[in-house]
This record gives sequence, C-alpha cells and structure tokens, in this order.
Amino acid sequence: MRNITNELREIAEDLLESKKVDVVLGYAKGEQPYQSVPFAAKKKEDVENLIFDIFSYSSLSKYLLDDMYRGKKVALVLKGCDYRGLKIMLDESRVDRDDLYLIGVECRGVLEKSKLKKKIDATLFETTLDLKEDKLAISSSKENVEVPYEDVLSPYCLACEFSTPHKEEVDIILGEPGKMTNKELTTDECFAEIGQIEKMDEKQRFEYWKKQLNRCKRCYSCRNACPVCTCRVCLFDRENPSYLDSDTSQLAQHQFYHVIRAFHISDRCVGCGQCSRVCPENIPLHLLNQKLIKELNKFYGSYLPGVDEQPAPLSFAKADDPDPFEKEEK
Amino acid sequence: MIEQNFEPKIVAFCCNWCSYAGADLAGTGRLKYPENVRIIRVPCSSRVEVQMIMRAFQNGADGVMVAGCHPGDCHYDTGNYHTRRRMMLLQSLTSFLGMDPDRFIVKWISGNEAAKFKSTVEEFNETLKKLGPADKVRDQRCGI
Repeated sequence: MRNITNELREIAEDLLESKKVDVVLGYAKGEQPYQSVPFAAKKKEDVENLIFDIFSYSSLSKYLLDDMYRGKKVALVLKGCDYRGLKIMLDESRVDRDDLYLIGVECRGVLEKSKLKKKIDATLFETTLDLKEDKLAISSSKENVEVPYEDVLSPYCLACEFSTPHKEEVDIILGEPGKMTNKELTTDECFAEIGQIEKMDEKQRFEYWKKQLNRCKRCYSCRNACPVCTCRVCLFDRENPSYLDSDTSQLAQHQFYHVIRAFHISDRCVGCGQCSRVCPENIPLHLLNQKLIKELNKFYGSYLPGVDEQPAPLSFAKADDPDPFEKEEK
Repeated sequence: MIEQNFEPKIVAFCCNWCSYAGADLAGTGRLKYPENVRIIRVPCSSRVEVQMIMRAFQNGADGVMVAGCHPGDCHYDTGNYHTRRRMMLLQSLTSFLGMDPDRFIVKWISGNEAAKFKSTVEEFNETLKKLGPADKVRDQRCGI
C-alpha cells in the first residue's frame, strides 16, 4: 500500500507542476485513527498530504458535480467501485471525460473497522497496522496479532468482481496487480442475511425492518454518499410536491424514503457498501439494494452497472419478460 | 382486529387508453362496482412512479391497483412492458420489507373489458376487506 501512496504523490506533483490539471482529488489522513478523508490537492505543497490506504472508502466522483469543479481539469483517484460510479456518470453525460485525468489504483479492498475492533483488545488509537501478503499485522504496546486479511475486509469487497479499473479506461494505473484475497465468495455468501430475511414470515420481516428503519434520523447520508445517486434536484429536496417532512416518528415516512432510495438506484447500484458504512444508526441499507440486484439478476440476467456495456435492465423492456401479474388471472 | 363494516379505500391508477376506457364503459354500461375505488387517470401505466404508489399508501389507501393495457396492446408500443418490469421489482421489495404484497396489484384491462374491470375491483375489495386497514404503511398523522 505504501508504494501506491508514493507513486500517487509523484504523479500528482507532476500533474500539478505541468499544469495538466488544476486539482488532484484524493485522500488524506483524517483526524481519527484509521480514517481517510477526501482531499483536494491544488498546490505542489498539498501533495504530501495525499495517501491511499485500506481506509479510503468514499467515492470522489460525486465532487465533480459541484459547481466549484465545473470547467476545471481534475485528476481523480479511483478504485474499481469508484470507477463504476464514474462510468455511469460519464454514460449519462454528467461529466466530460476530456476534463478528467483518471488515476486508477489497485484496490485490495477496504477494511471494516467494526470487524477490526473485534480482533483486538486495544483501542484503534494505540495500534499500528501492517499489511503483508494476505495477513494483517496489528501491533500495540499490549499485543501483536496477525489476522487473515479477509477476516477484517468489508463484506462488500469480498463480493467485488471489479476491484481495479481497466487499463484502457483510465490514464494511469498505480500498484501491482494481485488478487484481493485468497477467499473468493459469491454474492449470496456475502449477503447471507438476505436469504435469512426471505425465509422469515411476513410479520417477522416487518418487525425486523421496523426495528431497523425506525432508527433512521433521515440525515440523508446514504443518499449523499452514494456514487450513483446523482440527480441535480432530488425528489426529497423538492418543495412541491413535498414528499417528506422533518417528522421522523412515522414508520411510513421511513418506508417511503428507503423504498424509493433503493428503487431509484436499483439497476445502477455498484455495491460499494458506502450507504451502510456512512449510516450513523448502522441500518443495513445495502440489503435493500442487494435484494433488488438479486431480483434483477434473477429475472433479466446478470448485469454489472458501470462495467457492462449493455443497457441497464430498467431502461428497456421486452415483450417476453416474465409476467407475474398475468398468470394470476388465468 | 378487523373492524366490522370496514370499507377499504382503493386507489386505481388507470391508463388513459385502455383501463380508463374500460372503467368508463363499465359506467356507461351501468355495471355496478364498489364505489370505494378512486380512479386516477394517467397517460400510460408506465407513468406511475414508485413514489405515487407509496404516497397513496401513506395518505390513506388500503390498496393500490395499477391498470394498464394488455401487454402488446400499448398505445405507446412498450409502455406497459416497462410498467411490468418496475412493478415486479417494487412488489418484491415491498414484500421483502414485510409489507403486504396483496395490497398492491397490477392488472391488464383493455377498453372493452368493462366486466373485467368490475370483477377486478370487486375481487380486490373483498381481499382488502379480509386484510383490514393498511396500518403498516400508513402515516398515522393523516387521521384516517
């Protein structure tokens, strides 16, 4: 991971020096331990703050929609899932490829902090991490443990099928190609909870989701962090008709928000898991998205948004689609 | 508890070209169907968005029906195919969330099927009577 950071700094300095780009969007060290935050390097001096590590979660492509970056040349650091989000934006002509310099990075997945905390007694403040082949060495004054990398990896990354952008699609790729982990899981294995919920009866399912959704404070983090949720004016921000109000005591309003949020990104979800990661109440929002992906794949064939060239399953329809509604009548 | 004499509220989104004409024909043909159905005319069944359906439930509907032309008969050629894809997905998502999938139906009713419109509404009305009020998806502040 270290060499990616160094390479990244060199490239960024080069790009800024030669005035090829106005700004390099990447990650910098956050205030919390093991937190990386989005960072815009505009001058040569900023470059030394740039890093890329296993905590570089957030997708940066959404910043491109900001007025601040309009008409500017921007270099962007992209993992596989970030590229998929950007590809959808490029396909929809939301951003101009000519204005971008894409720096693809070899992604080996991002760490899940909650999983990491379970592995150690010490707090994250005291520990240092060292990534070896497929082991993660965690050391503090009290203990030295080595855990398999896949045990602390984010579940979304274990199901990732597209960890690094393709060479042809980006301007440069940093890092050396390698497998993410030794463990290869199918999506079904990673999201086993879906199967469990499907097995419940209707009442249990309702109670399960009631418990989850009632915690929602409607902070809209899930919407804001999603790399493919990019409407200029969001339905929920519209004043007329106003679909939601500020009352968070009504389950119906939570259902309304979450059904529509999941539905609007159903055939474009890239499975980065950022919605669940940013949720302050730990609502398993990705389950809704994964459920929709599962249904779409089941009925209309497998489709990877932002990777496959074919049109998205909800953007067209065929005469010979399965018809669950007609069958009831006969 | 299911109230006695519970009269469900049905919101029916009817496509202008087929189902609305079907409902109209039922009216001119003096066919009697339950009067607790509120018909909303839409230009095409694919005009019905997820938020419209969810909002109907929030604001007092006990059941929502989306009615369009028979597949293959769409005035705009492919509109109802889109409806079918989307509504199928919505139904699986809402039932995944534990909401009642029977409260939401999609029917294909053409312009001369007044009798089918009548029987569909009657049948749906009966189902909803058995299910009772849709409290699970209702915004409790709307006072219905």
